[in-house]
Amino acid sequence: MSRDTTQTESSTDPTEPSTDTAGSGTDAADPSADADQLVDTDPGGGGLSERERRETAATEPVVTARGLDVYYGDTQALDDVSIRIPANRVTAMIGPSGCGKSTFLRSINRMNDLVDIARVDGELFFQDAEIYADEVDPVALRRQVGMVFQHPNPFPKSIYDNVAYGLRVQGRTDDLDAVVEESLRKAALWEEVNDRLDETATGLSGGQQQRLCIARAIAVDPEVILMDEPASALDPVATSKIEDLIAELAESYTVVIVTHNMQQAARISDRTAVFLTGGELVEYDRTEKIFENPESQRVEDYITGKFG
Amino acid sequence: MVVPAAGIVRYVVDDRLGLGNGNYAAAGLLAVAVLGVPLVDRTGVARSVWLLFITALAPTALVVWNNVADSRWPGVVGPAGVAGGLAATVAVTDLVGITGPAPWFDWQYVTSDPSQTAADAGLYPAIIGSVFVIVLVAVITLVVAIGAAVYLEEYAPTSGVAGAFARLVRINISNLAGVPSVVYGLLGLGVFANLANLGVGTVITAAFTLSLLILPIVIISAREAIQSVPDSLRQASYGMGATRWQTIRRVVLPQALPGTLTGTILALGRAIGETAPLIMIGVATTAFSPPSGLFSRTSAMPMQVFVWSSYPSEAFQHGVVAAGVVTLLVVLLTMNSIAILVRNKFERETH
Ligand SMILES: Nc1ncnc2c1ncn2[C@@H]1O[C@H](COP(=O)(O)OP(=O)(O)OP(=O)(O)O)[C@@H](O)[C@H]1O
Ligand SMILES: [Mg+2]
Repeated sequence: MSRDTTQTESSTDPTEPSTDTAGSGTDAADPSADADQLVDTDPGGGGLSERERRETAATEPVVTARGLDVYYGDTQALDDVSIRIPANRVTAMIGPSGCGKSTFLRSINRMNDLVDIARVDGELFFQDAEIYADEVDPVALRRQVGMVFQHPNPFPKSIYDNVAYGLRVQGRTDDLDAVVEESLRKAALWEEVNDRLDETATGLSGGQQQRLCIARAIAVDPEVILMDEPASALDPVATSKIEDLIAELAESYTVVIVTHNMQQAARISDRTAVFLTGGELVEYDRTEKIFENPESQRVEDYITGKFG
Repeated sequence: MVVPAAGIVRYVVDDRLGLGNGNYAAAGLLAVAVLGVPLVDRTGVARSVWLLFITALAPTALVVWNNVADSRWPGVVGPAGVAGGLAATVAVTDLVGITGPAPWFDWQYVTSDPSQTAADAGLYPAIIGSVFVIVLVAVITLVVAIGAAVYLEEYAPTSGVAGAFARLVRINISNLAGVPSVVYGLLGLGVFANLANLGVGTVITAAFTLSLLILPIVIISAREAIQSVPDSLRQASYGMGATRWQTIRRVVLPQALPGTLTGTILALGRAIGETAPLIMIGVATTAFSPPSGLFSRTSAMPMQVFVWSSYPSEAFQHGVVAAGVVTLLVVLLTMNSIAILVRNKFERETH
């Protein structure tokens, strides 16, 4: 039932190059048969077959939350969230607006420290280290946990200086040119900007700015990349480039991505976490499971568009 | 005077324009200065006048040249209009044979020392004194104001007792901006001249006192400039693993500098015309030679103009005083245009 609705939803969306990916996980009972079919139709290149293969292999959690609560003043933004985010996978966060997805991302790299009224309770680990322990230096943490923000925010500096920024503040300035070029290539931006690296980044289009922010984040080679709706300002072509990039990144990085686009979550993620209003993590499972056969009725309602 | 200028030239040529090796340019400037000084001395016009002349005309010429090079003709119209208008006026007055009133604001006026006779009176020591003091004021204010504003905006605690104290400081800075300048004069006399023993009526005492006077205004404008830097840029910087200082140094300050400079330019305009605090700290009304160093006594343009205005003779009342005011305005406008050029340079770089 969820499958029908999901497919209807995706086929009415003209911006999505692949319309049947979201529902195709329903045949996962027979993965090999499904895989061939999907490799042909999946434009993301990652392919569900590879994804499933990776899914079965055991992997260490990189970020672990246990009973995490976040408050802004008196309002509670996250309520008792427990989650284990596996290494070298793409984990998607979906949920209605205001349910705390960005808050969760910002807790992981302690960007919430910058909000005076924010308060964090509960346990949150990055690998084996407790993120909110006194001896953890947020600066050092953020060098390992990169972030791409909900709105593109390039510095009003040159394109080159934007990508080089993280390396410069971290004092890793050997081979700067090569790293800048490689990062821009990975972010599918090199072709468009290679002849104007010294022009100001604010002159780029919104989509180009967002890809620049991605290039900037991967230039410093973090362990984990947090992406807050990186494709919300992008056209379908740029979106599919970003999705390819995410699939590629997942080979060496752990990617946590917030998205409002369920087809996108279904296409690119290995695991999906569904937050619902009130900052509650309602369900967290393999992406196919969430989209095909969620445990919770509320999640099913949300995914099929009856709620949220 | 020449050595710091050479340093600045080195910086400008090397880092900003990328025109090859700045050290050569700096050495060139030094050589020009060393060779130029005897030459200039032989022309009979004082060195400082040449300096003013160069600093005023050179930037204008540079701007005109840039505009011509980029074919931005509207940018040339202003200077061309002024030059053309001058030429036309000279031509017309010569043709018609009008002999205007004898000008008081002339070369002799800006190059000679004050005198009891109106025809010989000059403003030269006061011009140099004022410029000297104002340059010091600009440096002191910028450093202190940016430091204070960065602390108040980026470091000061926002909650608890310390936060309340920081709020009190912020409010009182705004209040200080409204305190009459005589009060700053008294403070300067008490603190700088007597307590710190920097001397009564010296360049350094005057510079510190005037800095105190305009600091509140400059701090307020610096704070607003810092506040207007979007938070998303700070977040981007922190998200890349930058420390707080790196974020301020590389993201916040470059963005906030043009706004801060605007506030500083306006405040300097006020400082150069101030008389009351200078009277309080005992700045001389008349000096017969320009100050020779930080601790030498000085005069200042508004002081000299003020004392001349009490001379009974008609020539002083209507000629010398008016010329003094014009000189004050010319110096002020020149300094402002230099400051605005500097600011625009920063603006172009960050946007
Ligand atoms: N800086 C802040 N100060 C106060 N409240 C905040 C702040 N940031 C977020 N909140 C509150 O926390 C809750 C969760 O916000 P969050 O930004 O995490 O939502 P979200 O899931 O990312 O939403 P969206 O999908 O619209 O981006 C919201 O109710 C919001 O009002
Ligand atoms: Mg959000």
